[in-house]
Amino acid sequence: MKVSIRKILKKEEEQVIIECVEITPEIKDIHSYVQTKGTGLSGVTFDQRMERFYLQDVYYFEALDEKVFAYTKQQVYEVKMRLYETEQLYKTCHFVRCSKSVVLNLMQLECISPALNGRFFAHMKNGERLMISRQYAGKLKQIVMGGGSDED
Amino acid sequence: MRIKKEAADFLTAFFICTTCITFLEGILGMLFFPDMKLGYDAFFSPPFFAFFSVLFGLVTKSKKELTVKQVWLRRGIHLLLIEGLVLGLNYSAGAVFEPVVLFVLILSIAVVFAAVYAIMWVNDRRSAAMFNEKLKQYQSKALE
Repeated sequence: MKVSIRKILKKEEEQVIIECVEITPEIKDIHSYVQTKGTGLSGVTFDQRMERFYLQDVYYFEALDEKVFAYTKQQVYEVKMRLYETEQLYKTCHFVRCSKSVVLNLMQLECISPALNGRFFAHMKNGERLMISRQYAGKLKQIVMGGGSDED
Repeated sequence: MRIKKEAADFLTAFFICTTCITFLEGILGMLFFPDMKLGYDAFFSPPFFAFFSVLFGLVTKSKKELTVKQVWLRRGIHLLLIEGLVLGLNYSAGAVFEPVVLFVLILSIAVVFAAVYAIMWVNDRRSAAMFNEKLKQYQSKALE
């Protein structure tokens, strides 16, 4: 596929145009990736200030008491989304469900270690530790390890 | 896929348990009952106890996410069930143990119980190490 970049003067006129014969799953992936890459999200901080932040800075999304929070290195934001929406919308940006209440960013994952009852801990790059439940451990391994996962 | 994983875990625990029980029965037998003669049916004893020990592990399963405290509590119940099974079956078969033998038996069951979980934890650690290696590759590839 031919790729070209044309420089323009105005930031607000930046755009990506995909020219294709047919909308294949690969094209859909590229579309979804472009839509979310460098995505600016809006969220409300604990002191009720509305702020913008980048998706790639989010370590994980967590659902608590019907609210969804995005955790970055500096701040915790309440976002106006459902948890399943973050999972579906940002899966092409390496976000994956690791428990009923958490969707984590694989790019911000340092490592995993075994916990009790066949579960695993996810150690994030900010030092936080999240629980990976049995239900989602297989899917997570499949994404990272591909078809050769021992969970298959 | 989850049922397949559960079945694989069950079988892994079953075979580890059978091996550990075989060793335990051999060692305890040599120590406390060296003159006892057993028939071929004795070969079925380790897999029998292993099967029910692993089956009792269902008490540690839950649809809800358990806290660490709940997990330890359920494991305690699991151990009590296994101890009850072994001692109950021996009692109903007419076996009478001296207090020292009884104590060693109870302790040995707990050791086998801990060993099975420890082996499974080591297996999970190996799996986590493989995942971590692939994670680094995944992250580098995504950044290209």
